[in-house]
Amino acid sequence: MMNRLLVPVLAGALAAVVGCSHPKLTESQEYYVGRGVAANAMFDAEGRYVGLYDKDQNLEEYVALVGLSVALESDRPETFKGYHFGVVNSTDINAFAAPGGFIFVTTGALKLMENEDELAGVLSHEIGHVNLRHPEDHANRAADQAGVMGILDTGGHLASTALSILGRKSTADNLATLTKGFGSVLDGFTKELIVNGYGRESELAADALGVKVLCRPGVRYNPGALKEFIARLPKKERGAWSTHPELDGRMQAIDDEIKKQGPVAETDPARTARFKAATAGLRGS
Amino acid sequence: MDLSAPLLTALVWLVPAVSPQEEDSLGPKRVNVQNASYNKVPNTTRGYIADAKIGDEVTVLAYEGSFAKVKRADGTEAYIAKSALIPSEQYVKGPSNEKEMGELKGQGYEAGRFDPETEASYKKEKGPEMEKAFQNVDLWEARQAWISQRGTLSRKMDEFRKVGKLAEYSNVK
Repeated sequence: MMNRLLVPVLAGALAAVVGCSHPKLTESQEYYVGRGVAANAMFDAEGRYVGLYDKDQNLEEYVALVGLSVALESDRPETFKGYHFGVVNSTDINAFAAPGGFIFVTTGALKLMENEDELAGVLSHEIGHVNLRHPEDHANRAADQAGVMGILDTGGHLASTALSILGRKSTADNLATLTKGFGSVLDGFTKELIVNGYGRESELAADALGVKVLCRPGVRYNPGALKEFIARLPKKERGAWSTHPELDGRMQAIDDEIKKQGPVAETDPARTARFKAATAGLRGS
Repeated sequence: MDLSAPLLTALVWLVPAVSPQEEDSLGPKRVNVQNASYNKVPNTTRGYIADAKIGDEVTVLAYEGSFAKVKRADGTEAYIAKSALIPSEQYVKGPSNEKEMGELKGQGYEAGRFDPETEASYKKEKGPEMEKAFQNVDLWEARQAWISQRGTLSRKMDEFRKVGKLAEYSNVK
């Protein structure tokens, strides 16, 4: 009798505690969401498979080296399986970050860039999102909205222990719900975030952190190159910054952040030369 | 059977939303990522000592920016990125591959997370094109496996910085 009363009472308490403590995806779970976003990023807006630009592995490695020069000096140098940098085979001009440190830049964006410092600026902005945990926060919210947090094993064995005690251990049902939730999280990324970004406030925060990291003694890229690249973006590729006053505000915020950093590096011809060599295949030269 | 004790234990364990204070606390922590390294200085690509393994037990002695100064199990001191650590009591052995997941299931572990099994189920549901996309992700991760070899990475990054006049090779001091 005691247990019959206790179980529902404690079940309610358990649900309340889970709700109040905002359980979060573990680093490992974020990694699997990141892999899923990466797989979904290989389809264009019409759902056609485009894949990664993997016919030039030197370019992929070069992009990774530029990205790592920034990421490993950032506030979050380690993720579950480390940062990965990919080149998406798309004429869209875009770059984006997925949970777990998966970062992408499109061939379209690389073609529009003029030097390595611009590439570093764009990647540093995306690394800023990862440092600020914007992709992870989005994944957590999406998982929460998909209603899977209750069965996600946020406490390791303990959540499943609690569930089995409460008589809800049904692996097949859980897997079906998790698969649906996993799909919902990935849909959120591919349909919304990759195109529109994380919202103005988060984008400005990623700009500011990106600039700071570019100026660190262990990095020393030209932070102004990010602004130069943004200014070159065609209007339709500016996302939330499509009007001039909005874009001017973003540029001013980047300038203000640069001024706080003291002496900054200029774009170096040696870096520009290796950028041109690495991207020559894309430009057909 | 009295269920109250295990349920209360579970409740206590489910409470932990990690506060910033806990994240920065000194004392016992465990490595919670698969790729990390111990270094002589607070930096991931300079002064490489050894790879850190997921589950390694360390004691945090102090923090310097994004890095923790730790005492390792063998008694030596080193730096490791703060983002690679988690308080020991919150460490969860997670399935990072099919083999590990099988082992955990053998111990009565229930599928209840975004893991290889969820991923496999998702791929099956989405069809062959998605299967192909995940294969491409696998190949991509394999191509970038050099990133996890921290000794090699350290040398490679130094050469890249030198040629590109970055960091210590920059004329901005």
